[in-house]
Amino acid sequence: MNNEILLLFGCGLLLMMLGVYMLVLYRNLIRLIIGVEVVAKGVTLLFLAAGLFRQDIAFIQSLIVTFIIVETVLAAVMLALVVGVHRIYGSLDIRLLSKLKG
Amino acid sequence: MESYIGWILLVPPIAVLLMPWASRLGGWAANTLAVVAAGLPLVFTLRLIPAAGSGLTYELFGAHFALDGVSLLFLVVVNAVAFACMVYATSYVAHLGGRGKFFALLLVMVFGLNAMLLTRDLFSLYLFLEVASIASYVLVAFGLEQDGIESAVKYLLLSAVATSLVLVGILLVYMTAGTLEFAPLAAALAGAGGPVPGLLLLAAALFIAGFGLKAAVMPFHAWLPDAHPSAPAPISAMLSGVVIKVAGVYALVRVFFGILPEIGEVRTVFLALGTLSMIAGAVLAYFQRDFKRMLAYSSISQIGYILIGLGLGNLLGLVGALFHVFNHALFKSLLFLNSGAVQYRLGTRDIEQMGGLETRMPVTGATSVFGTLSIAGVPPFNGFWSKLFIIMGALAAGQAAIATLAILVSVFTLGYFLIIQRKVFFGHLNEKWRDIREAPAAMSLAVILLAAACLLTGVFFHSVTRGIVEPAAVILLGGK
Amino acid sequence: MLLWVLLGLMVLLTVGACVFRDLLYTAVSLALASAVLAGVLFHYGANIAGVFELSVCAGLITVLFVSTVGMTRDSDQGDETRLGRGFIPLVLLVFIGLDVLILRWLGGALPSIVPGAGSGSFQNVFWNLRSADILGQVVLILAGVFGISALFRLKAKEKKHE
Repeated sequence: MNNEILLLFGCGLLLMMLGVYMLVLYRNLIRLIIGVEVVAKGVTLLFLAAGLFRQDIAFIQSLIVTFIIVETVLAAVMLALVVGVHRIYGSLDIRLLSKLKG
Repeated sequence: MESYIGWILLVPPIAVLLMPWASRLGGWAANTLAVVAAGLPLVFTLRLIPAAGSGLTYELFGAHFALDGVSLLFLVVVNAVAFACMVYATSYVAHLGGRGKFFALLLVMVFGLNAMLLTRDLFSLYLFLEVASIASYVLVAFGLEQDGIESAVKYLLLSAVATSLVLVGILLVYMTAGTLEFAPLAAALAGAGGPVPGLLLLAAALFIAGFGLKAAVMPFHAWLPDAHPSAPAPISAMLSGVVIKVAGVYALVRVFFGILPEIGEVRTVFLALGTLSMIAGAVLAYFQRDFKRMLAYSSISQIGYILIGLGLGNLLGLVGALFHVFNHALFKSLLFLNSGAVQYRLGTRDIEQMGGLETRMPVTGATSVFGTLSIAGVPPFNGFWSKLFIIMGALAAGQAAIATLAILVSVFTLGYFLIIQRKVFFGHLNEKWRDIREAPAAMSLAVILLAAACLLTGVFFHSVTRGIVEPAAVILLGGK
Repeated sequence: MLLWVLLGLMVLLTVGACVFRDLLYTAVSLALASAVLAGVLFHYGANIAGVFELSVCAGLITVLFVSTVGMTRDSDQGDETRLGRGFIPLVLLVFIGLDVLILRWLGGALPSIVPGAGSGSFQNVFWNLRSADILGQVVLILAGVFGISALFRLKAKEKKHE
């Protein structure tokens, strides 16, 4: 069982790293949102690992369901913003969003 | 008394549900609903002040909420500034369109922040943080123009990563302790006094990174200088004055002073990051031409002060930090609302084009002076006292270098803010602005309220500290 | 054994989502990865979470993605660097390596499994223990609804000008 938990943990972390890689390097806004979703998938796996570790699947299920709803609303808002960017810039390239330098 | 907590929580969401109908009735109906929905929580919060010491709890169909001194302090901050911003917005939103939706989203944000402060469960804290954050992403982009949408996208992407980190931290804590509620967690993690388990150290690092980003602490600050200026003025005021405090500072405070066991390195990290933010924020603010951008960098600097106060860990430092949270919310939102008023009338945020505005906009000018003196730490305004406490706390903890730096940055802040004030409001009136009028009544009312609060809090600092700040600081001290 | 297969498939599909050139393939890849994740959840008895993952992530989010891709078809898609995607195999190996190191440390840092008290059924947890979350989720959905209608309201503005 411990091995399975570590495996879940490992895959979750891997997906999170992959997602952050996408967020750092990619330019197309839609791909960036896919990156956020990939990170979320990784987090879901980590949730599962934590729940198995504590042997309380019911509890962690509730957290996962809530997290999925957060993820969905976030995705919807992000995609709405992307459509907004498209309207103004006519492009989905994040390099164009460089007017403000931070 | 307990039911007040229920009202504070539920009035904003109920107003959100009613908003579409109010909108259909007319702008006046939406305005009234919004102002009442922001005002009632404030009233209830203020009435709860005397009772907070007795540890009130509230239960809503099985959901547990509780109030203590720390929550109360932040609640006052949130609802006072939200009320002022809501009043301000009744005028300001006219040129944005979508009045009802704006109020609804702002009320959602207020709900998220209030609920964050009243919950006693770590995952619920995260959930309400996301509620407030999602509302803020849309509100930053609300103007639907280039700046707003661009900074909203960047803000959102960075913030999404930050909250993921926080979530991983929460999971690590859960795995170590088996529960997510504050009190049982603190008990479970107290440990036998031995070395802190690796998992908790990792969780601590993740919390600092994640909540640090929400608090705009350097080096996690990159989203703020873009997001705050591009957002509509009442949203900038809420973001800089309130959201970074609750979503960032309060969360850090709850986690590190109430849940995780004492970790010496964390203290040092707070001091280091705080000093970095304090200095770099002030220096970068000096070089800005855009008034709101300068205010944004200044927020980073002031958060640095707060973090230093927290890192010092002694009573003076904590009182100073918490009092500064309170004060900064008041004067920063005041300054942002005024910058919004100037932009509303002039159509630009470029300082170089302004000048002599106080002749045409006397209320805005006068209240800006109040705000400037407060942020620069000039007595008897409120900023002086909170900065003084932090500096005294630094000396008491033997951190003379930090104390000196804090004083120097304060003087520097005073310097460049006075320069800005002169450039914008005093001096020769630029011909272009010969015919502009003062800001609309609602906007002026809001800033007058905030300016009065700055002065009164400063003059009566003793009562404010005794009544609200000290009880909160004592709770934080006792938690270790 | 089954777990290895499922997780391997999921990682593969996610890498696919990173690598495909056509955005529709990317969206579908992500949808399938979500479906496999739902399978993993079912495997451990987290049925309700699995159903949510399947219907909402594999379903609703994919629909949102595909609609957005459709709405933004006629724009400059942003030049993907060949390098960004081409490096993926190498980067993947690096990440797996890092991962193994972290797991080694974690295996040591984790105490052995603690038999928890168990919280009873999902229903009990969701409706009773975590009812604060329900309030949060309701308001969250309200935020989403108002948010999207606020972001799309330009149409109404444009119509007014006509």
